[in-house]
Amino acid sequence: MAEAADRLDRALRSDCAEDLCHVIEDHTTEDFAALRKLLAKDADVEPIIRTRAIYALGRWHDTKAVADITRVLPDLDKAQLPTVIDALGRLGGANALKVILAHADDPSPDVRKFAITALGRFDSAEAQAKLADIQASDDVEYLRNMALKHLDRSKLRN
Amino acid sequence: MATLSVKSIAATCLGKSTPLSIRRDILGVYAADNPQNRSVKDRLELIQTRPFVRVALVTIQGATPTLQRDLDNANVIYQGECDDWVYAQASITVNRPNLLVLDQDDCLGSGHSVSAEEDELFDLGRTLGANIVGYYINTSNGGFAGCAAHPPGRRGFWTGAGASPWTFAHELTHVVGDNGHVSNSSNLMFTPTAAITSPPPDLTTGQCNRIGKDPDIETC
Repeated sequence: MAEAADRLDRALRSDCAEDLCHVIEDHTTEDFAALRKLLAKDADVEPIIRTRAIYALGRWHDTKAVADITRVLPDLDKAQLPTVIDALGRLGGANALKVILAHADDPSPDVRKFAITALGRFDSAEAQAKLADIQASDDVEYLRNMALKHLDRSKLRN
Repeated sequence: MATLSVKSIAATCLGKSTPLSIRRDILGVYAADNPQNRSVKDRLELIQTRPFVRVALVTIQGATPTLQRDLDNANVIYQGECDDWVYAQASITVNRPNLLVLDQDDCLGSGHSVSAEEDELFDLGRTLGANIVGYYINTSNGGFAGCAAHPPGRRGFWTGAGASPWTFAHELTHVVGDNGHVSNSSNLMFTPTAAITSPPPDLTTGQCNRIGKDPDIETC
């Protein structure tokens, strides 16, 4: 038990992304619970550890994490938003889509970029309409191109 | 001596022809962030006598690399611990703002899923003359400072703004010799690299052997 906790702690503190990817790959119930705990409202957790916990939860394929991530969202800073949007896009669901849409016009192109990729994972009319809007009006060329690519892929899927 | 000799060594051992820059092509200095006295004579001897790995560097415009510190630290470790050294083949800066915060699915050495942005990043610098390319970006969608997972056939790694003085050499050593993480805190392959004790970090004989047998290790 302590060994698993140490392993997770080291992976979350590691500068090299590989350690945490092995934790995600092993997919234990204990690690999932520990990661969720790091997003508890009153938890005293360093921002970088929270960012990485969100990254891991986004790849856990368990939509219970959506509520954890959205609950902690008001306490996060701007730099953590790309991770949040990316994670919610991977988890999916109506609540995740709502948050992604709310950040699709964020002033930061980095946040908008992850919002576009996240919207591209949804086939809903709302997501597609937002992608079309970005494709038509975003002032950054590569973001318009990205939105177009996702719209084309979606057409192929459906 | 010098000009003809230097030219000849550069051509024979490094495949570099004129116009030559002593600073870049011989001494491997591409940035001013780690000033120190460097001996051309010592470097020429190194080039001629010891195996090396050739690395090209690509900085995504907007990233803030400590490029020379990283190259020098990698050389302190490789030359001090193993018989090898790191040759910086070239360094370029590319304007791709979309790649500054890299969208990655994972960072697994085996079974890695290559994201569209990784595919785009690892295409850069492939004509610079080195099989291994090191990329400087800001970070990834997980807030990490380095990853050595790469698309098949395009060897390389990236380091980000939060990198420690050892991250670059650590990621390079994942690629060169396919070395994994270890639990010994004085070793280069310990993570987090910022917590490495008694720097400069060590490499074991086994790790050096793996580096020495890497297909991208060259000799003059």
